[in-house]
Amino acid sequence: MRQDTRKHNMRDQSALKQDTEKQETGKMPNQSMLEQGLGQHQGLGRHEKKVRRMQTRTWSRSYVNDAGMTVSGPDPGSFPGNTAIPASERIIQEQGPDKVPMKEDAAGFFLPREAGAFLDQYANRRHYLRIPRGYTEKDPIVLNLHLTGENPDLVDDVVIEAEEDSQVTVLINYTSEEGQKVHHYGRTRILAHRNAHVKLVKAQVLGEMAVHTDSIGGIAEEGARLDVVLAEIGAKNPFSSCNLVLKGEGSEAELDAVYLGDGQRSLDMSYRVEHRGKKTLSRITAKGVLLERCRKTFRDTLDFISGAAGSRGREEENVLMLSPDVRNLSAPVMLCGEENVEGDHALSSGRLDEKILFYLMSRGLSEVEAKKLLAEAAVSSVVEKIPEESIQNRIKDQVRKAIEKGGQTA
Amino acid sequence: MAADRKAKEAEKLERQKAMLEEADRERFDFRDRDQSSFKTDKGLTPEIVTEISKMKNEPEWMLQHRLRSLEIYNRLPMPDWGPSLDELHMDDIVAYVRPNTDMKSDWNQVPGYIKDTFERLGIPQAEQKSLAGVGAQYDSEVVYHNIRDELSKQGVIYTDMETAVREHEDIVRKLFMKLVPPEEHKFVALHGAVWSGGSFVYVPEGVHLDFPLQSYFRLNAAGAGQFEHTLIVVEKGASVHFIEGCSAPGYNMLNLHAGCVELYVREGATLRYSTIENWSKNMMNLNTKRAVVEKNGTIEWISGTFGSHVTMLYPSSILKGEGARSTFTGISFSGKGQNLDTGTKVVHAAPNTYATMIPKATPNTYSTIHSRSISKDGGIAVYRSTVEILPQAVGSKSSAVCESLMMDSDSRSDTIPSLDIRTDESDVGHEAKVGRISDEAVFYLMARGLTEQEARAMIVRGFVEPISRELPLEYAVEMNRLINIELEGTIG
Repeated sequence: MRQDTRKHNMRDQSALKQDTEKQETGKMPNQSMLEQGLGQHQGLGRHEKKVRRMQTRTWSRSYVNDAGMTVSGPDPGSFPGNTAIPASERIIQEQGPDKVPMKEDAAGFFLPREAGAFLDQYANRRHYLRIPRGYTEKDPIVLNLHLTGENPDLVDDVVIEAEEDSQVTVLINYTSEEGQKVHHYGRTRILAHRNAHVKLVKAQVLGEMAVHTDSIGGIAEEGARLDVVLAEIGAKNPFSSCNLVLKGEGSEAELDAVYLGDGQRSLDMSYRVEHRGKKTLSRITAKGVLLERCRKTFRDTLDFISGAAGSRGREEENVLMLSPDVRNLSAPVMLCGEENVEGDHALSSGRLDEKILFYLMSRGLSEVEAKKLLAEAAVSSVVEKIPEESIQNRIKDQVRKAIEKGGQTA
Repeated sequence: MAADRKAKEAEKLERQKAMLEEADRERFDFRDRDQSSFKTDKGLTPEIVTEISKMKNEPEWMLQHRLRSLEIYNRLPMPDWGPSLDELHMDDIVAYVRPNTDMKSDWNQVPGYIKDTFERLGIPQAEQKSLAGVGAQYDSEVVYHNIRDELSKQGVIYTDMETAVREHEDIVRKLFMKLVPPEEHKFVALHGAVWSGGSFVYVPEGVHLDFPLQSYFRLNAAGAGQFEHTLIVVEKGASVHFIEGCSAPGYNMLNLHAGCVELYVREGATLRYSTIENWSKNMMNLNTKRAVVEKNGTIEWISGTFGSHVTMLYPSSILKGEGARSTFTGISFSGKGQNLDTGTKVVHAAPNTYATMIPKATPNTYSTIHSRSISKDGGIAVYRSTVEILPQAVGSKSSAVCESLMMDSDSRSDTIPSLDIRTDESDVGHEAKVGRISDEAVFYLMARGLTEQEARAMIVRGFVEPISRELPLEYAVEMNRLINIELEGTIG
């Protein structure tokens, strides 16, 4: 019987993959088409396709099952070549994750097969970081990726492998030149061996003309810990996914996300934690601010696989809506095939408390100033987890700017 | 006559003993020899649909509705989400089974074997004791309908759907399948084509019914589908409690239930709709229920799902008028071989609607409603919901609490909610929990002198208590009994 349950779960997962494979006939080019495109040396252009986002589908009228994914191909050599990231000598750096034997690709859960193959082949920034056994890198390893009019296409593929008992913090920061049409498509994969501790911070503060598609996958072995902090602040229609697999006994994951939506933008985020090992622990926390006419879709999933006895997971999303025309979609999913677990989720969505707003305004703040203060407070618990003050400030700036632009009462 | 009945009963019991393995279900698992006067061929054609319509002496518009629905049914695909329906072979399900009796208004005129069935289910006794009216459906036709005289004098109409189509055409024609159009999904289109039986309730303005109305549906013929249609109109300021109970005996063949419930709650009216479904474990229960609530009206759904092989049931509420409310209280208990996919939908379509879909259970809030599910022995319990707040629905509030109890690791318990919020002037909350019976609680109770089994049973009863206390007494008793049966041998 136990096997049956597992089968059921597997079916769900493989269904997700099959489905994405089925859509190969969509707009996204297959391998041979890509090669043709490359042969003509016209760049690979932008490709869009509908991809499945829910592990278990639900009503089509709920508008959460699928989403459009954009992949943009780089002109060969369009991004400054692979360079070493400033880090201590003990960190082993190589250029090309293709050398890493990935037994299991957690990022592939949300990433259609051909989209992954595209990355394998055309990434123009490749980093492989290995943290040696027992070593603790004290300062964060920072990777600043700035897209400009001259270098508008970035396809990055980063792998972080933390060996037993090692510790590292990696910060990847995406920015772009204001007013430039730039494309980012990337993948980051983490493999945390026994008792390793990896903190990954990805701050996306791209300009409003940027296309951003991002995918993260993490695997935690026995006793390992993954801390992932994701900030989706800029870009036109940010599209991101993160799948963390708690494979080993006693492994832990903490996923903090912050997002900002304004103007006519559309945000699409799919985050998932899979509890596979015994006594695994996870927490997903998302804080968001939505303004003007933006649309946001946030899916978070806790998946307790049969056998993950003694595991606990919690997910939480708090959304602050500051304009009457925002569209706020959420799908907080919890899947459970194991009896001995505790799963919890909570979602709250609403506008600012009028009493607090009134109080602040009676103290002399304008409505916009008061809203800024409260919105900043709403996201600060996540923003403060970013170990770089300049990025923190940048995010807070963006939130303030967005409220100045669209935070007036309609 | 009495001897004949006794002999028949003995025969039935004998057969039941031989054929049924699930001894605990015996109250529901008795069945009669197939004595139907009329059976359509397997499969579905426009001819069959026309025949059904003709048999029922229906007006032309209803025939046209059936034919249009059939056409939609043939066109629509199977749903691409939810539990697998691969086992369902539509062509094998007999669309229409009519028992060889016409509707009777005196219980004594109902044929013996049908009466036996209902007596064993406790319907007439319940009617005498506490119910304002009873409508019982045996296979596809309503065989017994009665309503207390005083209610009729107040203008309350409570009759079977066929009669309503003929005699209350002015009301029915405007409303029939307008709230749940056949285009909605494949099974509701099928329902539109072959619907048969069901209840029609009309409560005039300002009338309050102190006793609940009750309909009990039962499927008897093997492989028969049941497609009853329930239409309830509660006029301005009126109130009523409607109880629907369902069960079917266990056959080896797969049965289909694709009913449709349309509820119209007018300004300031209140409707409570309670259901306990205990279909046999070969039933595909693909039921559609929807209410539209006008200004300051209230719909209260009480929904218990115990039986069936596969259930897809999501009572939905459209809060159309200002100040409309909906509450949903649901419980499902999924055992071996069962996949119960249940939940609810709420659409906030008007300014200032307030949906306590499943509000918090904490003492300082005033709502006391929950969705709870239990899964055991490899059963799959899915809670699926959607809350939609349309842009004009400013000032809406919605809260949901959903709790799942896992009895073992062979089972599954999934929570798949989605929320679509389109205005900032709303407060929306959703909470869900999944877990098992805590060892500490069992230990505590055992320290107080209970055996482990007693302790666990007590905790499960406590878990469902917020639901059972919302039910009328006889249903609460039935639910507790069902839970005791379901729990036996699985814990301790």
